[in-house]
Amino acid sequence: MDTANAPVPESRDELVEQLRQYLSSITSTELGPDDDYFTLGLVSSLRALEIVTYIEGSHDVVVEVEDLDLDNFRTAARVAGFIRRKRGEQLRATDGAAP
Amino acid sequence: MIGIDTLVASAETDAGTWDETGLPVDVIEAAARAGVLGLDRTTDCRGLGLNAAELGSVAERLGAVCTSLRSLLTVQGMVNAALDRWGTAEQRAQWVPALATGELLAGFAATESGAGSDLSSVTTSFEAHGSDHRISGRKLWVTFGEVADVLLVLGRSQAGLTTALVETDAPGVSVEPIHGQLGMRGARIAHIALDGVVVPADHLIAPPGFGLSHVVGTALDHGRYTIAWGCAGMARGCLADAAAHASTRVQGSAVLSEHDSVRAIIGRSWVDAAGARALCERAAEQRDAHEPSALFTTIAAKYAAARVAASVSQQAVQVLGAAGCAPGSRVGRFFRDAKVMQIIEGATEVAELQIGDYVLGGGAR
Repeated sequence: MDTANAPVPESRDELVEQLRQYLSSITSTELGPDDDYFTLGLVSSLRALEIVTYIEGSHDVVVEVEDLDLDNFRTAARVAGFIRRKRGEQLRATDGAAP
Repeated sequence: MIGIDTLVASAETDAGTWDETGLPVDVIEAAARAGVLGLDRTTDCRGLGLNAAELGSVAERLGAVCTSLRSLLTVQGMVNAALDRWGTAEQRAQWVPALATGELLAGFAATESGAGSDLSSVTTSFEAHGSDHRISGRKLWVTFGEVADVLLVLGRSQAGLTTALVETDAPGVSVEPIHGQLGMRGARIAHIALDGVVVPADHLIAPPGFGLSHVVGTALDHGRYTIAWGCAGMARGCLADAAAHASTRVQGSAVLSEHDSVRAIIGRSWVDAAGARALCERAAEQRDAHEPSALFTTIAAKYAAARVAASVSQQAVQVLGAAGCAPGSRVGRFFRDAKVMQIIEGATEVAELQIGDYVLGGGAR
């Protein structure tokens, strides 16, 4: 659980907010951007798989087996960071493929 | 799809025999040649590259003639979907094409005596053995386990629920074929004991901790989808048999279909079957659009279609009367199979809770 007053640099941006709303909705719990919904026991194994599909479908990244680390997924802010890293990697991969 | 037409035609005449003898190896090979074992894998992976709707259509056609044959499609599809989704590039290259072509047959080894609907209770153990893993446990109800070359096994390591591929020719694997169970009698089902089976580290699928939620979750999702369509096909087959019998069978001076009660059964069954099929179509659309809701719609489709297959097959046996109870009766076979479909890949009661949670979470539309 995050402390409400701690500085959370990414917490106010749009992507984090969008993810926070989605995760709050599927857990039926008002989550903060740094609330660890896995530790809070709010996510069934089925929902964990749904989150992967959501991230891929709504944010245009591919979650690969190498990405399966709970630290990528346990809070809205972490998911946002993961999405940004993956987009960066995918962009670089595309650039690298260009002549 | 000429191969699939031929397969359906042989199942129409022989499925009753297969129910007694088990699906013969030459039929499994014919299914592999027809592409049934890799329908929705990409052509790069030597599959047919079908989309979800097309995959569903084949599962429906096979389901309408033989549950055991459709179950072959289901189990091979679910293991390969999980490997294709969560294998490393090397693992995918090693296993996915071999499973898609039927060069290797797969079994799905999750259920145990103390872990059915709640798979998180599995006790099969994964222990470190140098850089390898040593697996011990007893797995039940492995569809096509009698003939499988490789099993996707769920167990637990120190780091959490873990999945691995286990080759059935490895020392310590013993296969006990099951006979005389209620349904799916042609599906070469086996219980499988794993006694200190050593597997190399590269046979672990996904990191420990993700075995149930992601690997098994992906397999079950795929399995539910083809079971749903198979059940829609089963309901259609039962309805056709009931309607044909009712239209021709004379009792006293009247054809059965002249009785209001029989026509009402036929009408009700048609509506039930059409409703279940519509949910299967909705699942297909969402899967092809990669919508997260597809997971839940697939559960709903499997739940509805299994329930309808059970009710329509029961009514069909009633309409056919003695002919429905006779040895070799198709509706009788489907009546037994359909009950099993309400239990495997998520029992009816579990599905209701999952769908209920989903609706309460605001995801349903």
